[in-house]
Amino acid sequence: MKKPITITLQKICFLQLALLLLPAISAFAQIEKEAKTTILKSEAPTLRFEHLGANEGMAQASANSMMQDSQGYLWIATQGGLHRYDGHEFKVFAATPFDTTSLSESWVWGMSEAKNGDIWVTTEGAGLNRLDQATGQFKKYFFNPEDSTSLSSNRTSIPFEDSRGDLWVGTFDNGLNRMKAGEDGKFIRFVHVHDDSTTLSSQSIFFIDEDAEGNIWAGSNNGVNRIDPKTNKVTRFLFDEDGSKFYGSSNFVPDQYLPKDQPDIVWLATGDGLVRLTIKTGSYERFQIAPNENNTVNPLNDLLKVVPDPNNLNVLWVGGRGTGVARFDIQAETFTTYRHNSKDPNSLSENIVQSLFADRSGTIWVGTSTEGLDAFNPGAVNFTHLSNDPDNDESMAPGIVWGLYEDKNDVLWIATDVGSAGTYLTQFDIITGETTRYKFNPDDSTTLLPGNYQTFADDADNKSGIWVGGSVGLNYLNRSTGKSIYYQHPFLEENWGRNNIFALLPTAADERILWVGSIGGLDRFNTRTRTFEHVFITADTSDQEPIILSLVQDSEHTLWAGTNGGLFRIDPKGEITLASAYNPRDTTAINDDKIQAMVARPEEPGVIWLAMHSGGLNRYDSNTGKALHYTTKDGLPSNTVYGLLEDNSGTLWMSTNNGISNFDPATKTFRNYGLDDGLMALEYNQSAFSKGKNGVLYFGSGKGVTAFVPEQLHTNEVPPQIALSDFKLFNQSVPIAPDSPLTKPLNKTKKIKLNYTQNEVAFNFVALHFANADKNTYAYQLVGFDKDWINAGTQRSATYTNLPPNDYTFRVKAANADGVWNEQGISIQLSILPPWYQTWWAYAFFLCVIGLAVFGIDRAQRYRLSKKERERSSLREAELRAEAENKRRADTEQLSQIGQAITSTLSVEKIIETVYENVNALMDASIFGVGIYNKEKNLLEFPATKEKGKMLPPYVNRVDKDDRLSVWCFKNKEDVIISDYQIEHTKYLKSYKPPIEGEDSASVLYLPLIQQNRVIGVITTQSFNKNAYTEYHVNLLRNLATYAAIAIDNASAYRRLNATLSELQDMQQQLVQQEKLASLGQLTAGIAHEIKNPLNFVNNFSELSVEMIDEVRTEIESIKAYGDAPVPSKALDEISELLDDIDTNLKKIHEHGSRADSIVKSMLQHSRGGSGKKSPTDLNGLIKEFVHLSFHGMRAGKNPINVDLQFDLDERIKVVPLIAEDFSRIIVNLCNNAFDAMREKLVADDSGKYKPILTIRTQQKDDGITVDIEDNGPGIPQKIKSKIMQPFFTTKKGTEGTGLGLSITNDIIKAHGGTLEIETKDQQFTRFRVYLT
Amino acid sequence: MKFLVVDDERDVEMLFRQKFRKEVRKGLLELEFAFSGNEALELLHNKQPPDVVYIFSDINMPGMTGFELLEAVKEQFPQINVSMISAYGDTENYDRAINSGAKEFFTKPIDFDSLKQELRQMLDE
Repeated sequence: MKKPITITLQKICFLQLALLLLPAISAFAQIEKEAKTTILKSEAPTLRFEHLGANEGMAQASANSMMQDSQGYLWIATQGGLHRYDGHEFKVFAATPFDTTSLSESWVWGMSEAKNGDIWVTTEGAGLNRLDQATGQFKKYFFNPEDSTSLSSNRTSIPFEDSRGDLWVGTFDNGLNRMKAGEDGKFIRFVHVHDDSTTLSSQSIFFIDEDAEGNIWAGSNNGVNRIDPKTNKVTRFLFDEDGSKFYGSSNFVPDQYLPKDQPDIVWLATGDGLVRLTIKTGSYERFQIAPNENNTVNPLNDLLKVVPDPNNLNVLWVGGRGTGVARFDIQAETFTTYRHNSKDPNSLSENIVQSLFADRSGTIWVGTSTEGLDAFNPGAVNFTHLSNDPDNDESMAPGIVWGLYEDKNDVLWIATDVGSAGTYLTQFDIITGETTRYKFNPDDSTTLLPGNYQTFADDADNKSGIWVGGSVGLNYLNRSTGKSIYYQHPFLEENWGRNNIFALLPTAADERILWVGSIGGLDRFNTRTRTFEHVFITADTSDQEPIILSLVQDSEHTLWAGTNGGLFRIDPKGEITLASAYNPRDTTAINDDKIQAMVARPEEPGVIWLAMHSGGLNRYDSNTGKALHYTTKDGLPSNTVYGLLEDNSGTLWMSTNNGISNFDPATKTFRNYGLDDGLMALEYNQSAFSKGKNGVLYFGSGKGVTAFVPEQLHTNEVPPQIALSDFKLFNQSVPIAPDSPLTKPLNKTKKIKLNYTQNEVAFNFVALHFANADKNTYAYQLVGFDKDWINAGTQRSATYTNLPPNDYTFRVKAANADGVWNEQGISIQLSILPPWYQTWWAYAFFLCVIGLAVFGIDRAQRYRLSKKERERSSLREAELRAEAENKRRADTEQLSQIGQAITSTLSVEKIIETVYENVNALMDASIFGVGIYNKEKNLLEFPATKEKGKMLPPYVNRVDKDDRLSVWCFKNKEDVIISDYQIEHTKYLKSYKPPIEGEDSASVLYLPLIQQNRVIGVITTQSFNKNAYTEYHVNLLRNLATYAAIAIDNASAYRRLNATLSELQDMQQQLVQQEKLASLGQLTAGIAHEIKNPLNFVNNFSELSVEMIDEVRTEIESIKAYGDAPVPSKALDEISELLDDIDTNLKKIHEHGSRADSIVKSMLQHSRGGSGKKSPTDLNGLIKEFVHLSFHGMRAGKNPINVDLQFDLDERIKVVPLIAEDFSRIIVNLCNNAFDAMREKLVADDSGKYKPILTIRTQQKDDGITVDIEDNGPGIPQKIKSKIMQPFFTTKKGTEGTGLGLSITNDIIKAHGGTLEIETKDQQFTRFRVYLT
Repeated sequence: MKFLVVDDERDVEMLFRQKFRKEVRKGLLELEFAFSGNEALELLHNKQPPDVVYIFSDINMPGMTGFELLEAVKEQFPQINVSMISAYGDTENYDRAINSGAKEFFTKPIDFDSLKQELRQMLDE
């Protein structure tokens, strides 16, 4: 019953018990501040350091300084380049030979963000750089000996852009520089003159800072300076006339912290501890981590950095070259150090700390000298661990923890197992931290029994007494004497298992009597008389007593026993019932028989929560007798739950094979805790859990004990900042360039404009929240395309293809690892422009062109009027002008109408008709036609040509012959303009040819129809009058041609689309037919069997009849022998009997013949499709018939299996309106699927115990009828459950399935106005429920 | 000598009764019929020890299948001979029947001549 021991022991890390003790005590026992031992006073948490270094992509692992930019990216200056980190990957900027736009030197010291987002970077020996984030290029500033306004030195230590926009640059060897805003490249120098106290205190500057009043602070290797930016006046603090100016000296000030709430205080990190400086008086206090000896500074005190705790104003964090990391409690004025521990992979990776930085998400970053970065979250770490330290006998005993109990007297009992080396019981005093180990000693009968200690109970009479239930018996241990007495059942057959105890629980009636749950069942043990009394428990059906795994008593004093055979209820009167047990056919029962732990919450009387061996968490409600199941599907990390405890706020905590999980019964949500959250192991153990009286929860694993107070588990409430990290077109990052869609960096771009061909885009985004960044989650939406937010999980990109032209907004929001969302998120607009000819301005342009043309012609005409005439009749001129103007307007309007009319139609004939109707109003169009190019046939087709208002029959011109004007126009893409055909046709054609249809014309216009540079055809108007067309008419027609080209192109595209569509429809039709035939094929064998049965009878009965007729004949012969003598009645009776039989047989032959006939009929109906109308049908009969057909079809087909068909048909159901032939297909399809599924399970079943059962159930319900087809096969995996209804989805290999069965089934059900529901459980059943209303 | 025929098709009874009319009349054998496996087992349990010496059972029946009946009979009444009758003469069924202790395996349509021969052999013994 015990979990097999599979935990790997090689990586066990034994932490110092002393370190663990601190939080354990302070957090659990809530000792007052007055506690005697100073070590208990600290509230410092145990820290877990996460490492980032070369393995994770750092180019160099010494982190000189760190900062976070306004977007949220983390920047790290190293000896090998400038690093930008987004929580997942590093981007490295380094000096590149011959690239003048790269960093001037890769060894960088400090960084500061400029107002516009550029990054200032100082280098070891190559001046100052400014990184333009848009281009990735660096601008440089160098020391120039010729120029006093240049940088004072190339050995730059730290840049700082202040609130005014002035840049301050510290150097290692030549003081400080100030570059005022707007004076790029012009530096004012601040230098050190030793005896002049108005100058800097030193030439070597290590940090620059600004206080609330705008003063600049600069720390040096000899004191710290405050500079008034208005007067440039310097005030020195901590300056030492004889200062050593070295690292590790008391006046070396490499960092400071200005608390906002105390403007008069500065905290200085110095070479000799932390200094609190009072600015007004210049007085200070020094706090050392360890005392100095012999005038040499203790390396622990050699600090480099100080940062405030993100959550706690009373805490500062310091780091230094000999310090590691230390926490300073301002009130207590004490330090706690955190240093590298080679036994603990989650300790600081090295003790030489160069930099320290607290980001906005609450993570503190530690820059080491050779190991890269360590990150810790001072607020998040609240899990405490107890484990064995092999070097310390005072620590808890070694081994896997199999039992845990905090008793009423502040003792935590820890039972461990070290395999062949035996078992231990550790007594851990949670007040003092003292431990005592107990172990079996074969030579001493006052020691504990051997075996695992699994369960505990306080002794009601003696505070020093504890009852220990083990695998070989019950022990009574007296702490004060250290001696034990044991109680075992005699090893007799009837006592089998009773000594292997899993649960001890004081009875509700009398705490001196214990319930004892064991492999042998349930006992009552009287702690006074020390006697056992067996309580016989059994399910109704067997004499077998179940193994008791867990016991709990509810507020009604009912005892609940979790066993290996379900949940038993023992009421206060002693009545025993099996409350619930696993039943594969009842999903309202508990989902597993093995119950490892239970909780009865006082908030829910009658409800028992159960921890299942393989069914996750169950909620059993004794009021209704029903259970709800919560498994990995609902968010549990594992379905094996070992321990279950309720915390003080009513939520449930459980230990599993995959970490610890918290379930809130109110919201029904899980929050899971894993290694990232500070656990030291993922696999926890059976029986090893306990709740302490201060709300402490304990869970045991192979690596020790995890302890925590749930209320103290911190949630990171800082929502993440979000950045768009990349924008891609066709899977390529879009560069920032003047001619690119991106002219600015993404964080500064409001809108991206793309043309209509650039319609495949992707956005990458990242939440810049570093507390467990891998668990940050995202949601995005492209407004205008996505109807709703898309949950992206932890995925950090979104891709869109084939976006139609439109205006969109892309939005992203993100949540940190604790699920706290930045609901506002970020957004960027995306505009995909339509093609030019679909834009409003294109339409406007067309109209303008027409207008201009008309206007131009008008002008020309007027010019032609003689001057004289104009002079003579100004009135007439005015009239003419008005007339022309009116005509122009009318023409333009008409053109626009034509344009609208034809571009909105999709039939070529209609287009030609519309253009013709309108063109007649604009010009003489006695003949009008449109020739459309047919590429396959290489023809110009004239489908609808009008001559004198009548439609000519369609005709074609061959493009490969040069004998037609239309062909000339088409091939040359040029206009044909003829005023007198008889004369001018020679310009275009070698010889005259009469028209194919209609008469010869005199004036001819042919214009090419051009769409997107392709000639798609020609348009023509012709007149029987000579000189019918002027330039004006040509222009009009040209405009019409433009519209016509667009319209015809659209129409032909539409036609092609239609053709494809109908092809698809045909194909679909065929597939449906094929599926029908396929299911018929599956039925054939079944039908054969069904027909064969009646035919067998027909044959048998007719054969019999023939035999009997022979017998009758024989009888008649024998009667003849009597001659005239009286025939005995017996002989006649014999004949009459035989005839009766023959008569019955013939009736039987008829009956079975009809039966075969009706089967054939229904088969035909099934395949042919019937009337397609609903008619009243005997539903139960139909179902029975087709289930049998399917069954026999399967039986006679390939790989038959035996299936128990169980019909449970509701007789209240009579006739139902159904399309019988369709509905029968549903039954056949569902049965066949069930047979296939059960066959699969049968083949995989090695035990031989699996018996396929198909249950067919109909039920008359208030609001309809349900038909269930339920198999006890393997179930449908969750991941394909949603897909099985899709057409063409099939799990059957090769040609076995069309993949249409379920899809068609679903269609048929829908056509009946019904629904199809699927319920399935892994390895248990699949139920298809057809619901008809 | 009592024979039990188990088949869910009720007309089988009439068929058998007519086929073995003479034998029954002569008192050579007695026929009993059951229309399901359960009914058959019940019938066997009604008389202790059962007087049935031979069972012919269909394999495909709703509820208890012929195989299950076979197994149950072989367990409870090992002395009774059981032969199986099935419409499916596949080897899987055949092997399973013989391995579970069936005496013979007949396929449908029943060849009454061979069945009679089998019975006669029984009677002779």
